[in-house]
Amino acid sequence: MKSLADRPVNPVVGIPVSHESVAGHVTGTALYTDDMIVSSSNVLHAWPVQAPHAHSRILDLRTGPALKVPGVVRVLSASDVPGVNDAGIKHDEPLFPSEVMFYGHAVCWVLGESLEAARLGAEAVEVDYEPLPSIVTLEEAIEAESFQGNRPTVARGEPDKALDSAPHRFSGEFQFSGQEHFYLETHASFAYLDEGGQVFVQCSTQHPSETQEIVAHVLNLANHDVTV
Amino acid sequence: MECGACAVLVARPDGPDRSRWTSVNACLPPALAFDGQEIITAEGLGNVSDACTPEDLHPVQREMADRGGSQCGYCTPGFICSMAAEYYRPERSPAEEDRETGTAVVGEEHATDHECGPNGFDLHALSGNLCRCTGYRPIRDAAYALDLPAESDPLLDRQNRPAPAPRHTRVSGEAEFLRPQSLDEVHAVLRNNSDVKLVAGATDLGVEVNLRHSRPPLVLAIDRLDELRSLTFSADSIEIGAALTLSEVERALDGRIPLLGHLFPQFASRLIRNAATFGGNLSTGSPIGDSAPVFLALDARVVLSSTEGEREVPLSEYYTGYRQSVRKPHEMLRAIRIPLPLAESTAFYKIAKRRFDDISSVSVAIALQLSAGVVRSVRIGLGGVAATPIRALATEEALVGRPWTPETVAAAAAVMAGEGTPIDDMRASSLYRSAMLRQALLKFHAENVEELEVAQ
Repeated sequence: MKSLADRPVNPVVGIPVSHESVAGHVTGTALYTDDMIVSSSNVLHAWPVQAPHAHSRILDLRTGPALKVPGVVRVLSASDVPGVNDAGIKHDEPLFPSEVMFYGHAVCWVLGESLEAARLGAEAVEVDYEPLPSIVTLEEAIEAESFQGNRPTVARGEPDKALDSAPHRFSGEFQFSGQEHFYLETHASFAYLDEGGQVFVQCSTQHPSETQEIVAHVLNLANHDVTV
Repeated sequence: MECGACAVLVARPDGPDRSRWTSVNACLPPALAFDGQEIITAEGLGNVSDACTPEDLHPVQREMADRGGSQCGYCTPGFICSMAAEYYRPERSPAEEDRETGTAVVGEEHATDHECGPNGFDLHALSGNLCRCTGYRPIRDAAYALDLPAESDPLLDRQNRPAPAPRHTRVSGEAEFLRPQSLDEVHAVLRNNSDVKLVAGATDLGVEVNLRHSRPPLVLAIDRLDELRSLTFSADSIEIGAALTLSEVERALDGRIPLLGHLFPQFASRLIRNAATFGGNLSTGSPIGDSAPVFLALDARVVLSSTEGEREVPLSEYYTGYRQSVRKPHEMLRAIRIPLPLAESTAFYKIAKRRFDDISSVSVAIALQLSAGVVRSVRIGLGGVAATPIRALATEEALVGRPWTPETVAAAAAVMAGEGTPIDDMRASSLYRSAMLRQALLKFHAENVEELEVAQ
């Protein structure tokens, strides 16, 4: 009888297989999103104007000074959105906010012929903010009863009763910080209109379908007009 | 920042007649700093035009490919270059005993641990390269699988010839870049201009430019000036040129200053040490620069030079405030002098959130000389507990002249906990910093008590 440990004549499992892109990786020839810039012409660069408050209302946004910076082509703000001003999939993340919801929130984006021009343009944009109260720690959020999303409870049996009769009971608190996955490739998107007038986006994302949905609703296009 | 993904190989001088493939971060130095130099990137190592067959790959590339050393591939070219630099390191040789077992040698204490493959590959050659998806094990497997380079390898042969001579580069536009030919030329430029950035490895300036968008109007590259690149030993001192990289000083000292030997493995990463200089680390004046506490403990003096000549200032009197010093705008730090003899017992403790490649929360350097069980002299340098690096003078006073006993040390450790004016910030709380000061002295005593008993 054939043993499970016997190998078939032409095995597939158990044979080392190299990563399909590995030759490009180890020779440095694999292309990443920001490599597209150097092989394309007339690329515009975008730089965000970031809010210096955790929570604030935008009272006024003056983009005029940015347009005087050499190389600045345009400043994108809420009035430029032909579709829905939302950069999420649950319609709770305005692309161009009127209310700043976190420190560093991009309030508008400056387009320039070079990254440097866009950055200097963003520095020139004038924004008036009215700072609002902010909740930044867990303790503050609990105290203010500011909870987000579902609050699932997992229970089994009768925990209160079991605890009451337990010979030892310990209680305490501990804290630990979160950690975002620190991927090395920096966030970058490269977008252009293809020969059929459709939007083509190359993006360093793990969510191409969400990106497609967002780009389509911001631009008021059907999803099939956007390729990511 | 400084993930190492952009690492490249540069042919740097290795003495007057040889060169050495040295891995550095390409994102930090100005491109003009390499005018006339030889650089090899991951693209240049193999036969890129048709890298579809294993024969076209460089041995380093082949091992990384065969052993699953890449996933998203973004960090891979940097790993390839750091690995190639170690592959060609002239001192690398398989150790006989390791060859038997084929396992890594792991040191006992982290400050000096040496993780080395059976092929002599120092794993810390990769400490400046971050990977966030493959994991480091297959990368280590690739590193440890490397053979010695073939004798016919052209890149190995390249190391037998001198590095390209520096060029007298001068480029001006909105900003100006200049590589002066002599120290006198640097002095003259400093005398005639108010806003000059001197650059050697650019490991600090590069961050300022990339992340804080600093745009210095005039940058002077001084990393190849002979006057700044000598290491001289005399009867009463050792002088370290300001523009020698840490890796170069490490090789040239070869353990002659044990306290610096403690520092090197804890100072950033190999990629940074291949570019960074002590002159730069002391000149930026950061209170958490790692070398200042060490040089304070060594009682070092800095040599400042200018058109007016030279003057020597004790490092303990050099800093006057946060990133401020007694150096005048037209002066530059030419060298660091360490008086001899050296204290016999030394340590450097770097307390940071990660074992390597991190910024100190607190750093402590200690140099102790005992005589018949009594503290004859002690100098303690501290980083991260004040606006400048400082000496723990009150603690030193609580130790000197007293017997090196647990009682003396406990009392001095209590004093140590009160040194400086530590603050709460993102790296650590003031309480934690203070606790680490106390603990550092207790640890030093624990590490140095047995020797004392033997000596008695």
